[in-house]
Amino acid sequence: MGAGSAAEPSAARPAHLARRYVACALVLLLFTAAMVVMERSGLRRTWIASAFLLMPVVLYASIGLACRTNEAAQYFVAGRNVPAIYNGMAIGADWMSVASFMGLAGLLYANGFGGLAYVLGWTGGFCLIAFFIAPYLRKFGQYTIPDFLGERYGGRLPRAVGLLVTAGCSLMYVVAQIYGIGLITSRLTGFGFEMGIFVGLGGVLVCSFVGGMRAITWTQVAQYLILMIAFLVPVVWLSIKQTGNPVPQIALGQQLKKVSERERELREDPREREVIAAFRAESEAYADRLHDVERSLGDERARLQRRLDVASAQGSSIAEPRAARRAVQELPKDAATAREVWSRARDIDRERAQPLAGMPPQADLFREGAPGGNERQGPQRSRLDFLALMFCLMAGTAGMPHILARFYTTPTVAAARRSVTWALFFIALLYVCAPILAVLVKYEVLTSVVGTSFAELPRWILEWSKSEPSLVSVVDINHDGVLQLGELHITSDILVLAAPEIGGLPFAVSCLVAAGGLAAALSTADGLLLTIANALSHDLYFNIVHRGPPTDRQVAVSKVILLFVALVAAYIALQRPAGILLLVTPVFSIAAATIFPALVLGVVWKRANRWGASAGMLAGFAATLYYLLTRQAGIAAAADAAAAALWFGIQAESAGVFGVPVAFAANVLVSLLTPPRAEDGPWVDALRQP
Amino acid sequence: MSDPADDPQANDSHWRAMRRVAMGLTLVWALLTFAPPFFARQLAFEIAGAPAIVWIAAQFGPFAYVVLAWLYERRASRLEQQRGDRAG
Repeated sequence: MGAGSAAEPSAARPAHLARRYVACALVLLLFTAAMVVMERSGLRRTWIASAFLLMPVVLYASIGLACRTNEAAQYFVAGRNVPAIYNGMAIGADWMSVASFMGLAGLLYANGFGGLAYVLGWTGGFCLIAFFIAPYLRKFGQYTIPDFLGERYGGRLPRAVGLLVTAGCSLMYVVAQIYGIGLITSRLTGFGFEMGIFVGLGGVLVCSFVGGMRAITWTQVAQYLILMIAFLVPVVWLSIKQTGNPVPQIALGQQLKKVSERERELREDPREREVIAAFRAESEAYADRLHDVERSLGDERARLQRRLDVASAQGSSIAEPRAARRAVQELPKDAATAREVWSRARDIDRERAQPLAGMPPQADLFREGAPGGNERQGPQRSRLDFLALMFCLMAGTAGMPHILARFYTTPTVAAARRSVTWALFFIALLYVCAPILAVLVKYEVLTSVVGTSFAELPRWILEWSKSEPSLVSVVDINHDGVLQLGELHITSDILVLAAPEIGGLPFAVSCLVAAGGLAAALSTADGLLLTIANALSHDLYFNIVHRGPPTDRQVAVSKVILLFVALVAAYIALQRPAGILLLVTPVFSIAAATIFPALVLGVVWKRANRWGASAGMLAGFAATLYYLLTRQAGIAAAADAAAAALWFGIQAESAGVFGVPVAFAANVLVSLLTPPRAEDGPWVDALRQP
Repeated sequence: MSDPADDPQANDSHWRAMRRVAMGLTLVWALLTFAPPFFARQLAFEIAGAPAIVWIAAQFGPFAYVVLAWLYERRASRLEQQRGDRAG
């Protein structure tokens, strides 16, 4: 079974390996400490940032080059000799994307309790993998997920459908990673976002291109260590700073209580109420303008022109006419643009005209009120929505092709099972820290950032709002010269990157966190790109289009496809799609409703046949996509989205909760209606034996 | 697949034992996953400053999953060992 080649020297001596990786972690810690000290003695910030960008990339590149290969078994499944604990770490890094590293804590900061659906959902799914999928995939012992579907069910249809979903899901997911890479690299280096993407892409390709799964696996172990250290250092540091003890779990209870108290104060604060009233007035003004766009555009143009004339005539300063001229120039050119710009501004202002800048209190549980109805997009989830999201994330985890493919790389079935446990353990370590980081940062924002005067804003606000005003912005809307919570806008995606600065930690820690985020993004992007390229080359080219090739050509074709996919993903990321999590969650719903049922039924139910599996995947995909497209604000046309009420108050992103039952039902029904295949029974019997 | 089904009856009982373990643990998993959020309002009493449900969802839950995966791994390996002993 499988193609276990000669024992790989680096994998054959685990003790030797362990020593090397422990040394790697220690060097990183010492390096950070040295940078903190050198920063105090005046080392320039650009030097520190470059060092933190270069050091890990050099490490990844050297591991990647040391593991370069052209052998199929090495390239596709790392020679099937990755020990369980290292496979666990590699899966951890593969799994923890920018969405986990940056998005999760940001979401917990912005949405409070609702974000915990992600903490549970993204860990609980691994139990399903352990019980029903991983050991059987390893027993099967080929290369990709469409491979399993193709062999289990026979024929080209299940393989083709599986391929479509694998490539589609992974592509959407990899775009989110590359977007994150662009964000972090531009932050670290001061390059533009576009440049950041291409620098990051080089980092991805150096591993996956030269060494395939083998290089990726050993690089990901290092990336796991880096991202874990990068996440823990600020959490522990903030915990010591705020409560005096280094165990973040102890800080959680204390600080959550203080955050809740402070939130109560801020809700009553008269200045916060002024801010809310000001935003509400602004949003109403926009709404008024929208009643008759043509006329208000004319009025507005006349008003601004008058202001410009007055300002130029007075000639008191240069700044004033310039600002007035810019206001005239920035006015929408025609009625259609004006309608779009103003309705967006109205919605943003309406959102900000909420207590606590629209964030639910950190310790509040669910949104009150009956489920259903048209109420949507509130940051707080209803209970049913919370459960639905958790379900989608779990089932989606168990259908995520780039994770499942990792279980082909262990030496035995038992090692595949063991590596699920390890992976889950390594993932849980970071996930239990994310809610704590969110609370600690919120405490910092509510107590020390809110209330500072606009004359002496902290450096991070100035820098971020200058370089990326869409991510961080401040406006003194009630003109009192003091920053209120309502006047500060932080996109939740960047919260973790900004956390060290918000907490007043040294700049070197910010760079460490950025390096960790980069490790998370690179490792996931590596795994995803390889999954797409392998699926396209192995399943599409060599199993559907052109059958039975020599293996050396297989690797070459895979590498070419990899390069092509990477460029396509980078191109899409350059279009700057919306928030990272907004892209990621629907992917889980789709994977949950397609791959997951086909794999599970393929193992537990012999009677499932190729027609059932194909029908199940297609029906699940269609149902999920239908709900997603008609209910997702921003995707669906605004008018339609308003007309289509949510079912049971479940948000569009959790569409999988409808798609999964549809997929199972379609699979079972169609399987029973069509004749069984004779080979299915013995094939599954063999799969189930140790 | 490399190893042919040598003894159908032993094969079948092995699979049934494996399935029993998986199903049992899935039941525990489902309870652990969906019951606490469902009863979140009842679990809103505080332990050490934070509501109990926050502790469950943010700290205990992920590690409970690790324990479940570990339990499955142990049981499955033991079953496979027994199967191997009987067969060989």
